[in-house]
Amino acid sequence: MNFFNKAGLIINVLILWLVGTEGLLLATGWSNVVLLEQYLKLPNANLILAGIGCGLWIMGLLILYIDAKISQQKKAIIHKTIHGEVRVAKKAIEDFIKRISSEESFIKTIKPKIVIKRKGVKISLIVSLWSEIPANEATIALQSRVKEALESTIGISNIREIKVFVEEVTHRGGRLRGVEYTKE
Amino acid sequence: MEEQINLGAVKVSDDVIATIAGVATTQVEGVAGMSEGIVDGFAKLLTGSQLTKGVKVEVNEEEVNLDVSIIIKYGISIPEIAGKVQENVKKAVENMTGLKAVKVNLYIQGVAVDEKK
Repeated sequence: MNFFNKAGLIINVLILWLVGTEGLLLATGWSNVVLLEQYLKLPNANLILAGIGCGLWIMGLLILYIDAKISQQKKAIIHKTIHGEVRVAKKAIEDFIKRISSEESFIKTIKPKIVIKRKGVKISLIVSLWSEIPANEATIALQSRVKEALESTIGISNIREIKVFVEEVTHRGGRLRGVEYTKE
Repeated sequence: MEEQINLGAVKVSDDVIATIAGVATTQVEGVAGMSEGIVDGFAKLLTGSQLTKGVKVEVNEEEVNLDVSIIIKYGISIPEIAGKVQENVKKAVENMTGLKAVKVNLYIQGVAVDEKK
């Protein structure tokens, strides 16, 4: 049983036990609604209840957040080998793209975004360029470089799209507005 | 993991198996280091699962399945290094514990990025 199933199970069981115990106590007369109301009127009872309520809320949000993070982490390119599975995380691919892009002198900054679907991988690159070469030449060179590197080094064979968005070109005397190039 | 021998039972902790796997992994050229998952601390507290810095061990009688999370160095071919890591880990675990490593699943979590030029 993985971490989330277990954590969720524990929390649900605790809540059910709490509610169930109170129900049993009410049914057997060990507790009654009047008694419950009296407990609620005790000093700090509201604070305690508010504390428990807030605690449960925060735990629920935390579990949702961690589950989302883990789902993100699990998104990966998967290869099967004779010894088991090899999963390459999205982050690894993004790190790799940043690294190969740093070798190109015309790239100032790059922000890769990877979308992994069953049909293939879609890559979006948001780049800032230096004005050494024209933006259209730079983007074509970048797309080819990224595609070749991902295929040979990472082993990704199903790249569907490498979209490049040039958000800035830096040269003397000012900046150009963004231009979008797409290669399919 | 427990083996019955004439003089008594021999127990090997899952932690030890994880350590053996971790050492075998880092011995492979191209592995920058081990990678811990995001909830290793929580998982250890609540589930008691044996997560030793990037290695998860699941023992079933005489067999063991391992999940190994790593960071690789830039420039290394992943299909190549994956095979080497899986073979090295499998060999190390089988030689040192006598267990059969059925699956060695590899999770490549990141690429070690050198300083920019």
